[in-house]
Amino acid sequence: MSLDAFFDAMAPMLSGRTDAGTVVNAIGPSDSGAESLGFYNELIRRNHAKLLGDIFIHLHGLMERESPGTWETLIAGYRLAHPAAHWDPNLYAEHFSSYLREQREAGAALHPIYEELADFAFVRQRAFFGNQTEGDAYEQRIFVRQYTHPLSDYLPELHHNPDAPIPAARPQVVIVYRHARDHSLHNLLPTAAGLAAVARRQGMTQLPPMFASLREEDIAAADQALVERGLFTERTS
Amino acid sequence: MKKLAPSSPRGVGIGLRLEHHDVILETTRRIDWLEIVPENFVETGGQPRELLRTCAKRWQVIGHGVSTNLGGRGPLNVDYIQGLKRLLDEIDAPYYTDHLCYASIDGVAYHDLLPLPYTDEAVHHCAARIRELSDRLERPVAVENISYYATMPGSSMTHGSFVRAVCESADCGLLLDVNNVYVNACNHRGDASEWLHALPLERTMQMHIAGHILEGERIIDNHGEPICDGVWSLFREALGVTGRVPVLLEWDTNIPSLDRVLDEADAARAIYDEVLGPDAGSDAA
Repeated sequence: MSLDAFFDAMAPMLSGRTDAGTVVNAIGPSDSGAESLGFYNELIRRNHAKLLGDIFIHLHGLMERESPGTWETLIAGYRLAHPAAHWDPNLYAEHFSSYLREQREAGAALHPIYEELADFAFVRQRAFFGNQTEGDAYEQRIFVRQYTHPLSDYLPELHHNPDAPIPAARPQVVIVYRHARDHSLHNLLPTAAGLAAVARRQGMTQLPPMFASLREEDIAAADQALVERGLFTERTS
Repeated sequence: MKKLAPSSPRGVGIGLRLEHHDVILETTRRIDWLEIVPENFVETGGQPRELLRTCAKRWQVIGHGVSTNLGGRGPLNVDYIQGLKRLLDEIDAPYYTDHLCYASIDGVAYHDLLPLPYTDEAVHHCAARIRELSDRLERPVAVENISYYATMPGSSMTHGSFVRAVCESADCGLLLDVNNVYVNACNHRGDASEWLHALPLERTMQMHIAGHILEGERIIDNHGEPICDGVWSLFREALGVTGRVPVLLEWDTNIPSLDRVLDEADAARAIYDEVLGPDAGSDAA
């Protein structure tokens, strides 16, 4: 048996798509028995479930509260739909929000706040660990999001009270960022001038029409306020 | 064989874990050196990276990877390895360690340490990749004997023979994981001492000790429990052969307080000193 044949036989089982019996039929038995061979499928299932459970700890708790059993079904489906593709295990969670949205749109009884909470948790984690670039270019520690629910209020509420009811829809623009100097993690509800300042910092010279009424001095003042909040450092260019 | 660099750590180290980030700089207890999982730091910023820089000024830091995929198919991930080298250069790591296993197939990452079939083809395949990794990192590499729960189909040699053949063919070091030897011997109904001595102990560059958990009839290498008597005994036996190599206490799941981890490291150091005599060069606070 060649190594290529070995990998060809193992890959589907390790992804949860076949079982140990299929591997044995393809490349022969393990001296340890099929149950032990198949244990690797279970180990990887546990690893990936733990990764998602750690990153989405509040979402997991909320789902267990609102619809018991749903979480396990979803993470099993996610494993098949989105195999991990990066050496950083935390990036396994990257597509979970969009997966939840797809499932809801396909008819699953999932509250839309689930996919937003997943995105919020993921970008908070990325902001905390993201690489810091020099200068005024796009930064991996800053994420601008528009949600249909007030997540910057609800997440801390849920953290302190797992029984906190799901809030009514109320659109909210939130900036998740890591402080440029002390590295602490923050949420910020920006003004229109603040959003324009962020857009400018990230290389957008021509602002969208929604910012047409803003005066340059208001944008400059908002930029300075964001420097004081630790979103940015002083301009380098 | 790659010899230990003069700047290699001494004594008993612990892993730098997120759970201890807030307290590790405050402790006055003895920590001889630190080990990191580089995947947690390559291409990252913020507080963890800042803490690592500070720690590297105070302690020697060694990188112990989980995803270079030394046994895997396809080319090594050169982009990642370049980032890894930058990190190792930054912390001035004298060598690098990873696992003798595969961790992904054709771009799908399993985030686990998976055993290969123990064959001549796998020996040559792994040895070539270890040499390439060592060249790209411009430092010696040691590979860890993993714990494994099933012998893969097609295997034609024992685990110990496989590890020896790879290390000799690659001319690399061994990261001797004593807990893995114990776990493997128990799970595969063997004698732990025999399994230990089947490994190329003369190539040991570093040692790992850890705890494990019993699940049914299978021992799971979870690094989440205190070290059991059987592993302590095997550690003592291994030290008698390897002599003075750096030892790392692993505690990666169910992570307790830093003080509890350091209690376990102290226990390891007491055995280390008992077997080898006190090391005047390893008493860094």
